[in-house]
Amino acid sequence: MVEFSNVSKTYNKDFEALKNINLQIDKGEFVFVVGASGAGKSTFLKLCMREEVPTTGTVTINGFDLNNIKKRKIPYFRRTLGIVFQDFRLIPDMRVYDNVAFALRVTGTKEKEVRRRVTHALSMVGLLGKTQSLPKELSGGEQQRAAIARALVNGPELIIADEPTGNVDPQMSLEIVELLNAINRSEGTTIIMVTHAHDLVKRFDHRIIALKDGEIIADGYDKEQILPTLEEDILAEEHAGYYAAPREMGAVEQFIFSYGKSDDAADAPDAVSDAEPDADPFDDPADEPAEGGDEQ
Amino acid sequence: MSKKTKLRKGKFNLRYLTREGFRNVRTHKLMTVASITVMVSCLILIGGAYLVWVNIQSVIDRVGEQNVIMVFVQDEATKEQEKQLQDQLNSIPNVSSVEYVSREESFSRILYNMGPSAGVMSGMEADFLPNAFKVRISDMDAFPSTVQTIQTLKNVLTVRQNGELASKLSNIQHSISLMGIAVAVILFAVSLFIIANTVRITMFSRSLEISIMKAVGATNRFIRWPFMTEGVIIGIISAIIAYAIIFLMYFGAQKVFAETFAILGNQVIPFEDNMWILAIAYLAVGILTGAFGSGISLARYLKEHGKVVDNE
Repeated sequence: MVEFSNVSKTYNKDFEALKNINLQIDKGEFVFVVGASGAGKSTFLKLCMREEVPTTGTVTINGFDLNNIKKRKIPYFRRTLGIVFQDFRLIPDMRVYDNVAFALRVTGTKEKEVRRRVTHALSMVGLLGKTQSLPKELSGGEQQRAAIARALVNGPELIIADEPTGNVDPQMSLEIVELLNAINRSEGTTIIMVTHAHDLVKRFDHRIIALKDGEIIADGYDKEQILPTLEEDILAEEHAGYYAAPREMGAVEQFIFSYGKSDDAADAPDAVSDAEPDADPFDDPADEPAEGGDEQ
Repeated sequence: MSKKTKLRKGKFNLRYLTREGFRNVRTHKLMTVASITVMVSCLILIGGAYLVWVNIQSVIDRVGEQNVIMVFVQDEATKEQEKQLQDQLNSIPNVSSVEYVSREESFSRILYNMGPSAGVMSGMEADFLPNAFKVRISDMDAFPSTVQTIQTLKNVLTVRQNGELASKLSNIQHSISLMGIAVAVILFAVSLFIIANTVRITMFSRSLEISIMKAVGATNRFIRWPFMTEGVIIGIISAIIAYAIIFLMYFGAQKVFAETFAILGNQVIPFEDNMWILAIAYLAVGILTGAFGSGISLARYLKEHGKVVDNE
């Protein structure tokens, strides 16, 4: 279904956005793609949508060899995908019905069939009562559901959701992901969801592909192990310049990050108290002499 | 060989896309008005330049009929003698054509050229005018000798000619024609440039819509058709508005310049003489500029900016 084989993408001859990516996503899978800003998620999406071509390696999606596909065939490839954007991307002066129908009309589908499929898609997302509304008359969550209906209506084999919860409130975010989950289960549609929302990711037991600096640093189902690693990086970014600490500093890093997480400075000693009694948090355990050895 | 997903090709729904073009015109009123304003201005400039050129040409034609000699026939000459004179004129080597102009035709021409001032001639008959032959000369260099030959023929009353003026006016007319063409071409190029830029601004204002179309798998042709329909509609509306304005402007100009032209023994060319050529030209320019302006601008936009993903 989705196969990246030794894929690298370099921009301007010196910036490597993706480095030797190898992954395979099978039909019916639900995959979260996570990573900090600049990790390569956007480039990954662009390659999936054939907006870019890899510098090296091959990308195959839905049976299409995206390296060798002719330009005039690209629209036909995109019709096998459903794409959901963070900013919904509904046409502002078209009603919900027409926004969803649009994805069918580009394929020349007859109006009778359009009506049937649009009704079905809107019922799946719970927007049958809003067919004649304009996007500005909908809430963020409703707009995103309309966008999902548009992504669904062509019966795609793969839905790519690019930060679909980025512009909606937390409650609605959960509903959006649950909706995608339901689509994955009932229709067997493969879902790739790019997201920063780790809290949401934690609530599901789906496969997680973690990107960092253009590389896959984790690919699996162990969210307990994968997500904290990324969260530290995200936190390091947020506190860059003062609190950022290189990973090699072990206990010092632990102290700084645990201090930084708390708003109350008085809580700081609790982090230290988790360590051995009388331990100096600024001591690097690596400097401790080996047991039984004499200092000269 | 990997299995390919069945291509969802489908038919190109012309009716839907044309309806979308009409919808776009209604929906994006501000851009529509801007485009129409620009195109109307350009069409008025081009049409105005053409009408000015046509009138200048007519004045020059009237003042000196460059290679024409009017041979007036004596009143006593019979029909047979007139026929004989015509044959003699035709036999002169430098004569390319001989056309008989009766006194009645001359009188009608004078009345036409006087235009609104022709009223002063009411009640008069054509008797005071002689019959004449309009003789066209091929070689202007042999003009003087040809005139001399004609003057020796029997039944010739008088010969009206002005070789030097005719030659000079011929040069002026040629220059004005070239200038007129150059001005029209420059105006047309400037119009196309302005219209192309206006269309380009429209593309940028519709970038969201275009990116969505690309994301759902619309072909470039599918994206282009509504824009081209929109361009054609704008072109037709602009042509109609420009035509109405130029008609009103010309009507006013006719009144202002009628006296000046009468002094030159001429009249301002009536609008009706050029109404069809102007109408066809306006529609053609409007439709072609609208359609191709939109099509070309969109093609360039899709090549440079037609992206789907636009974040990070």
